[in-house]
Amino acid sequence: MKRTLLIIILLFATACGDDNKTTTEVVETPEGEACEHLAEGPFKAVTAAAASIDAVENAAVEHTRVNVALTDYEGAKGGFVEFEADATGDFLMFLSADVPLTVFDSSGNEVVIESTTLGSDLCTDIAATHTVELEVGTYVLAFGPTNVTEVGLVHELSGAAHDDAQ
Amino acid sequence: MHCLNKVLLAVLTLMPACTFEDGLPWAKANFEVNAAFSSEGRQIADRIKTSKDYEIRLDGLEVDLVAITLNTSTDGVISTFDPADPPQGYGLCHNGHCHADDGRLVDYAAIEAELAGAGVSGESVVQSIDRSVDLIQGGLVPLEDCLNDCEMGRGFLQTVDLRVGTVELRGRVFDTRADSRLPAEGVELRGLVKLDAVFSQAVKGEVGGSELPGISVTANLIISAPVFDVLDFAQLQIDDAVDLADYPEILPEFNEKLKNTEMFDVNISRHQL
Repeated sequence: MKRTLLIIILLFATACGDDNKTTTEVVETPEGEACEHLAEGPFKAVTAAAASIDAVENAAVEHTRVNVALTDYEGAKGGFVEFEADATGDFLMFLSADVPLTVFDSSGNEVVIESTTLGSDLCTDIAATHTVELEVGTYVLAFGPTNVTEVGLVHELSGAAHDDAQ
Repeated sequence: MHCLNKVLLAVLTLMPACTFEDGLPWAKANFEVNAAFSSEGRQIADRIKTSKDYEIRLDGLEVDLVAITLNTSTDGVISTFDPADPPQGYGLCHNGHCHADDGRLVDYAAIEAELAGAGVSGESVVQSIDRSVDLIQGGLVPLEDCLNDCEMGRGFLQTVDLRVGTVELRGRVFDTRADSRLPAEGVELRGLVKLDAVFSQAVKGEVGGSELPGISVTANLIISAPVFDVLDFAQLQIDDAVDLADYPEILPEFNEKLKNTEMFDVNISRHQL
C-alpha cells in the first residue's frame, strides 16, 4: 500500500516538473525577426542619393523595415545610403528584393561581404541576405544597378537574438 | 483570589503588550543606489568611439541624481503586461520589446513600469539623493534623508522611480575620418544638459500581508557609450569647442537615446525589521 502511494506521488511530481518546461519563452532567430519586420514593419522611408558623398540618410534603424527609394544610377536604378553600425560584429542585411549590394567604409574602401543567401525557408519576404562584418562606425551601402525602384532593408546583428530557448 | 483567576488575570494583563506593539510601521524601506558609465564595446585606448566615427576622451561625466521613490497602490496589481495582447499605444511585441505607435522601441520592463505606474494610488516613499555622481568612477551613491523615515502603510508595491536632473560632461572629441570634420587636435567638449528624466521599473510585493516588513531596494543605473551616437559634433562646434548647453534642440533625441541604451534594474528583498 505504501509503495503504491509513493508511486502515485512520484508520478504527480514528474507531471508538475514537465509543466514548468512548457512555459519556457521561445526567442526568435534574426531570420525570423527579419520576416516579421519585412512583412509587418514598422516602416521608415529613406531616399538613396545618386553619389556616395551625398549619402546622408541613415538606413540603420533597429527592428524596422527601411524602404529605400532608389534613384537613377548607372542607366538603371540604385543609389547610396548611410549605415551607422552601433556595434561590432556580423551584420545580416535582409533585403526584400535581390538588389546588388556593395558596402564601403567611411574612407571609401570596399568591405567584403562574407556571404550571400537568396530566399529564405521561413518566409517569402526575404529575397536576399548579405552578411558583412562591421565595426562601430558609419558605412555607405550602395544598391544597384537594378530595375526595381525600391528595396526594403531589415538589419540584425548576428548573435544578438541567438538565445533560441526551446 | 483563586490561583486560576490569578493566572488568567496575569495572562490578560500581559496579552495586549505582546500583541500590539504600538508605533511599529507596516513596513520600512531602505535603499541602495549604484550608478556607473559603461564603455563596453566602444573603448579604444583612452577614448570611446561613436557610430558617427567620432572618438571622445571623457574627462568627466556626472549626473545629478534627485531621488529614488518606491510607489505603492492600495488596489493590488492593477494590470499585467501580455506581449501577445499589447496595451493601447503599442503594436508588435517580440524579443523583449514592443513597437510604440510613435515609432519608439520600448522594453517589456518599461511597459510593465508604465502600466504599474498608471495604477499608483497609494503612498510613495521618497529617498532623497540630491547630489552629483561621477559616473566614470561609478559605485555606491550616498543617500540623504528619507521621507517619513522610509516607513510605509499597507498596500502593494508598484514601481521604483529614479529621477535624474542633469548630466554634465567634459572632455575632448576627435574625428577618425580621413576627410576630417574637426581639427586634428580635436575640440573641447563640455555641457550641462537638463534631462529631468525618470527611470522606472515595476516591482511586486505586498505591505501588511504575509511578507516580511523590511524592504530593501537595490537600484543599478548604467549609462552606456551609445548615448553619444546621436551627436554630430562637427555640426555643433563653435570656436573649436562643442558646448551641448547651446543646443537645447538636441535634448529630445538625446533623451530618447538615453532611454533606449540605459540599463536600470531594481531588486527587492524582504527581511525582518
